[in-house]
Amino acid sequence: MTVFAIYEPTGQITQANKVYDPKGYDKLLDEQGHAFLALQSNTLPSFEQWYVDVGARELAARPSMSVEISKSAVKAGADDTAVISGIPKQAKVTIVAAGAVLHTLDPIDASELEIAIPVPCVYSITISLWPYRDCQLTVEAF
Amino acid sequence: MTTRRVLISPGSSSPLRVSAGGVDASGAQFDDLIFDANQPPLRVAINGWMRVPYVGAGDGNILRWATGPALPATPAGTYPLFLLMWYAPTSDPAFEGSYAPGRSPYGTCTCYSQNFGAGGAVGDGYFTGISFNKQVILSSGDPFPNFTDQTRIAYCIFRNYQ
Repeated sequence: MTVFAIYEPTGQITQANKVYDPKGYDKLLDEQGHAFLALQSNTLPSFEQWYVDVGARELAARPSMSVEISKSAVKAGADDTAVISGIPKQAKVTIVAAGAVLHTLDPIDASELEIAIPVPCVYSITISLWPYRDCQLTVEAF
Repeated sequence: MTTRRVLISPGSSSPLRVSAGGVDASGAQFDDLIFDANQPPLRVAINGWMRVPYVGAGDGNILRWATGPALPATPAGTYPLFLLMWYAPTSDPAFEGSYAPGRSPYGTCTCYSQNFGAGGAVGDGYFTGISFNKQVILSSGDPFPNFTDQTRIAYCIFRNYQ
């Protein structure tokens, strides 16, 4: 089966098509100005896991971040913190709690982030940097 | 009177016709035919997904929309049929179930006493995502991003192979 992955200049896949009769489809994409990669596969690549290595013109797995967190639970309102380390340079960090975005650090200018939580709740922390896969962590304050 | 539901007649205009119950195949109208050899069934030509642009909460409006991206390239005479929305799991575990893959773009939030949802429309060569989220929840954030950059829609393109 021929799969066409259409991508942006960064390599982000914006569209993936499994074409059962692929003859002429590459020409159609060319005419519409799409950058694409044709693959032989039975499954559609997901943009969460894959991207296009534009230089090599091949599909590549999005790497995982080597992020570590010192603890996942802290005491609320106390001198107790969780430390996230190994954050890649220029990453974006978003902290969400109770359905609201509390903090956005874009980009964060450090490789470590220390988190103290004033009231009992759960902080959900997302670290994102292309082409890494998003890293999601939680810290609960009790 | 005999009702002939299956009619094989190589010499006629249609070599094989199968009609619905109680209808004679020879004179059946299109809606009463289960199969007509002159009307070959549609077959799947392409299936795929594409990402849709971010559309935030409604900010008090009934809906909000964002146009784009362009519709997927399709062979002449075909058109994409959009099947459903697909949400990546939200970054907030408390609402993860609302964004599970393959679910319709609708959810509720009891803590804010409101429903939210999303949809879309096709026109002028573009897909337009529409947010039905009525209000911004807390000024600092948008906890129910109906279309985020993690959102994609699935579609299928059928073709009538002659």
